Amino acid sequence: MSEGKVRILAVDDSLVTLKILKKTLKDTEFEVVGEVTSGEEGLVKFDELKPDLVLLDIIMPGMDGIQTLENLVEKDPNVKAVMVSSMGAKEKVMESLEKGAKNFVMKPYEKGTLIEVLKKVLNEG
Amino acid sequence: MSVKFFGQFLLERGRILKEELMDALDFQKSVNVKLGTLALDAGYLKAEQIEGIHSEQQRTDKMFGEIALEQNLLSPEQLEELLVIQKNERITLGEALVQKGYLTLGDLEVELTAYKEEQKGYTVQARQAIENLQGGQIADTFLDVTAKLLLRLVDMEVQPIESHNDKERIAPFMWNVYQQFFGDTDGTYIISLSDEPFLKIASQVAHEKIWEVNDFAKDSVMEFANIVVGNTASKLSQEDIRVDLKPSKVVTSLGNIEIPENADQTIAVSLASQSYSLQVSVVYSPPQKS
Repeated sequence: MSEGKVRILAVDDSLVTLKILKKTLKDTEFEVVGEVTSGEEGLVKFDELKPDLVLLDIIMPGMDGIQTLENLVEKDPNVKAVMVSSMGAKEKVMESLEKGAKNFVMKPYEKGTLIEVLKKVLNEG
Repeated sequence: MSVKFFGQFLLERGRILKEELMDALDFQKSVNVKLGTLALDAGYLKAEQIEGIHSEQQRTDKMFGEIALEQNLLSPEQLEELLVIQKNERITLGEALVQKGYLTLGDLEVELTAYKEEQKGYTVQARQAIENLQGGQIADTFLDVTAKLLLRLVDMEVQPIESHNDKERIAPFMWNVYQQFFGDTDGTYIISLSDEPFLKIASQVAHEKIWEVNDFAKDSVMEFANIVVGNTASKLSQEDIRVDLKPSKVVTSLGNIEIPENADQTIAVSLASQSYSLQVSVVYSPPQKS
């Protein structure tokens, strides 16, 4: 793990997506320090790692991304969570934001877009 | 690039804050008026008649005005008058953002141009691949997004070879990746394909060569289906058709594909690129309109 990097917990049921995310963030100021494939695991890892940012998929078996978000906000009202999902229906975007997500990035995403959003969320204080 | 609504686009680009977007959407909702409400206000229809039209809409997939005319509840002149009022009272999200002071008119023009440019994203070939199909709005949207994402993510340019409406023939190949959706329409989206196109999609989506259909390959193609269905849901939401999704799955036989009982419409389209062929099907119920 590199010193001074922004520590990210990624929650997505797709192993391929997690792998691509790590590649995307390689050589940036961000580092994926934890990756899990379910919301339930995400909550456990969040307590364990205390990450700077959490990236959440929405459509997952079991606890979905929005339910996970609600639980995270309950644990830490200041959690910096960003939804990263292909499910960009207007209602889902709005529900995520209302429930505490700081932003929403749609798959497939461009590397530059993801990094810009993450930087912005990080700097929002 | 993905299919996103204008507010999502602005948010990603950092042009507006999430609080501003939520406020503008609330504002927009408060000034957008449904035709039934206008008819009620004008005294042309009673609540019971409006409810009757809504039920008919769910059954027939017709527009509100169309049914009102068929049932002689509104005259063509009355409908015309209501449509004009509705059009004048309807504001776009962009206008709502300007009216609320979150964007200037100049900003709006710039952002709309960029948004339209990004969302255009369909090549002529991808459009041609699906333009002559008669599948209804739901199926058309699925097929449109599939063709676009096959081109964009898999570098596979497809053309339709044939189509059919037989629910028993939605799984002609070895691998069947499906995802269920539910809400204003319930149904299942299915991509049926053999080893070769399966591995092509898996490799392209994962950004690495995959040689066999293993769990990683399956995960990759399921993610492709998930992106197609998610982007389709986004596009449908812009038409006020709301659907939620279940996770995608891979199975090898027709009997294992989960299809909602009320999904009674099928469109299956065989698509072919220079090197591969596959079939995309959508089995769904007629959409309920608000």
